[in-house]
Amino acid sequence: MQVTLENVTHTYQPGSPFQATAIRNVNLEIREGDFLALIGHTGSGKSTLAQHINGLLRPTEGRVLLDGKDIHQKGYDKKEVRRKVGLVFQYPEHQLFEETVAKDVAFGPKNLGLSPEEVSERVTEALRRVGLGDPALAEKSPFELSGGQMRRVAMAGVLAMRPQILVLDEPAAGLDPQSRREMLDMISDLHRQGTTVVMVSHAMDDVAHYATRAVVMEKGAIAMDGAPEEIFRHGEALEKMGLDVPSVCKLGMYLRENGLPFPQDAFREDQALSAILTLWKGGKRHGAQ
Amino acid sequence: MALNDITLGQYYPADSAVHRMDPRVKILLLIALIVAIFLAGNLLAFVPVVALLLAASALSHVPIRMMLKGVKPLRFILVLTFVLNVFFLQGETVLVDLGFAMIKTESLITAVHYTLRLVFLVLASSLLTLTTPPIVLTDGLERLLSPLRVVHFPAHEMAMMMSIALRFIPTLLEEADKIMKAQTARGADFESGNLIQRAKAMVPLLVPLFVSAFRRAGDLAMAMEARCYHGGEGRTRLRVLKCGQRDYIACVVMALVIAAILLLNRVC
Amino acid sequence: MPTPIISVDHVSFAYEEEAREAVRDVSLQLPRGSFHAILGQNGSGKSTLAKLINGLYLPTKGTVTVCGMDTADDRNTWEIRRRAGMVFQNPDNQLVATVVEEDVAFGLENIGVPTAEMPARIEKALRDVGMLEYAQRAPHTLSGGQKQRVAIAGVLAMQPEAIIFDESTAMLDPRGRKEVMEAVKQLNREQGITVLWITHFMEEAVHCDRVHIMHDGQIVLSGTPRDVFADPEQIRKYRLDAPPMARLAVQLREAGMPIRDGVLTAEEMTKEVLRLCR
Repeated sequence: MQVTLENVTHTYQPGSPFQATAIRNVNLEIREGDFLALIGHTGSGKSTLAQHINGLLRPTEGRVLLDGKDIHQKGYDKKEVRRKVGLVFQYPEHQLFEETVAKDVAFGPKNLGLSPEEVSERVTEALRRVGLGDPALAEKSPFELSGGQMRRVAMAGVLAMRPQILVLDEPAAGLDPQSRREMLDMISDLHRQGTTVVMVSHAMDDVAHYATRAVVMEKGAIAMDGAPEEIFRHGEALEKMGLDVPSVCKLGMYLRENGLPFPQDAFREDQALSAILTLWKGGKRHGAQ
Repeated sequence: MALNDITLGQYYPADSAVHRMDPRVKILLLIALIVAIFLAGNLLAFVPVVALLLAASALSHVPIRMMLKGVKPLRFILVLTFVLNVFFLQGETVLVDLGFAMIKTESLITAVHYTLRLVFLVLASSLLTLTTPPIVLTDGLERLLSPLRVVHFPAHEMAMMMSIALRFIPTLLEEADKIMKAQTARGADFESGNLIQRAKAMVPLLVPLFVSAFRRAGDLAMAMEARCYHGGEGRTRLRVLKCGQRDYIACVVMALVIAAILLLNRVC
Repeated sequence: MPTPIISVDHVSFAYEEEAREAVRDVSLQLPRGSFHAILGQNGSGKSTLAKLINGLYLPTKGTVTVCGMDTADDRNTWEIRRRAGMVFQNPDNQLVATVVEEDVAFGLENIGVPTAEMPARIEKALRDVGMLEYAQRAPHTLSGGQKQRVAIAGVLAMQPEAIIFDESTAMLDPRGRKEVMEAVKQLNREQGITVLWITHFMEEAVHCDRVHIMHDGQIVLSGTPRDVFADPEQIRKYRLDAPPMARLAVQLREAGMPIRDGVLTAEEMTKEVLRLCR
């Protein structure tokens, strides 16, 4: 399962006074098994890009290919795209509408035209996956739940469609630290079990910790694309784009400025720990001589 | 998706004498103009109305084309008015005999008269909404209606509700667009099926939208209270409305138009 | 010690429909000009506490006084809300008017400031948050950070002595968060406005005078940021997270490196590493 964006340009309200080009000439290949973090500040075009991956937005120019086939070509079944590529919007809990949690989660699978047995099996499985396996909870109204639980129900609603690619727009926005970690661990588990993940995120520490690939967007174009250790090597460039860098990168930048050989590619806490200890032991030996 | 194509209100921004008029005067003059249009007893009496509308369009830099846009949604009603009047009004002189029905001169004239009357009514009201931002209009309405407070008419509350609605319409439209996309991503289909199926398909859009609107209303009420809002009592205003020379001139012009109509009614 | 500007004295509060108290026996004092932060997970009672301070909610037990006025006395309500303004979480749901300038005027209109005085106060408030050039814009065309700064200006125009920020950065992107944070720090530093900053972002609490951690309706930990973040394990118990550099400091110390106590930021960590490794 692979999605390819070929020279994709998207212009909102073309021909009107509000015309705005959100992304321009984007080429991107999302490979099976990626945990791709889509980075960029608000207005950089990352959400627009995300909505092209499952065909919600149609490129003004260019093509979106799913396993080599143009999804906007005549005769291509849109349901096929929806089934394969799941999209979780920001604050997804705001889309809940059914009387019960189970019914809400069933909405997607039902739309796929699955049998009632299949639907109910998927609902149970999806709720279990998001840590809401309690059957009593499935019969509750989603509006009685806490904010964090509502977000999980919304996630389950997309997971129940069993997408092979999961696109998430800031899944942890507004969550407190603990719930944030739980949410990201859950996504990471899905990734480990074979789902390709595309995650729009502002939180660089999260990107450093979870992603296998990072794509940086600026002004509607892809500015950087590579493994996190390559991206975070360019801390100064990221800061120039108005983005944060992981705190370990910041520390590294300061230390290198002061002449200490802190490795360029360290960006996670565990890497910082061993790098500093190496420096310290080296320094001690040096001092002892 | 179609939702962000909806442009809100029909205010046509420009800096003109008509735009700068006191909204209260504009509202009152619109009422006067509506009365004048109804007063016009024959086609000739529409001439001053047309002259006024043309002059206002020129003065306000709002093209006639923009004003006519407001007529377009009413085209069916206009055609209906015309057809009904042509065929069902009494008349004596037969103009055309279609075999199954006859068109009479008198009914044709009346049909044209009534249809034009509708067109002019729409043009006159669009002139107000095109040259006055909705919020200023609300403000004008509030001041005009505030004397009714003595009979417990909630003029301030009404205006506050209208202005909050104006503030939140773009926000809610954006939200509706987002929810629609999110449900589409879950396989919802808003575009096909018969009327009942389509109505049913709206549920996943409307429920979250209502829930969100209520949440926003709660938040907003709290925020307004925190900023010391406690109704219209003892409130001062940033904007003070003042009648100026141009408002007086406009009133005189309107009086002349009405006089001309009355005169033309007599003559013909 | 001068009388605190905000004083919360053994306050408890329960929502009508719920038996459990959302805030339990909380005491808190904010000296004039101070910058305090309240940290807590969602549902810890921190937002409820915020709303108790300017009389949006009234305590079921205990008293809240603002500038010496009891919030329970309804003659004080409007004066308290003027002196202790509040900025909320959702930038969209607290702007009332369709034009920025008129939104800033909203509070002034409510407290009956004469029309002639308004323009100068609006101009100053908008300038103080760096939004003067947006005075004629419609709120829905602004970014989240800009909307929040307009909300601050709306409070500022009323010339408050304290401002309570109820998770005002929770829905913003990092850039917006920085904008708002900078504006607030400046107001505190330059105009001596007392700030109560409610958040679940640890980084934002690093630079304030005192941090209070709320858990399950109670204040469970209070102190300077250094003291409070010294023990990341304990913080985690309250479903919070110490800043990354504080966590790293603890790990380094465990590995035998004599890192000084109270390292919270990358700058401080740099100093320590330079001191020990060079």
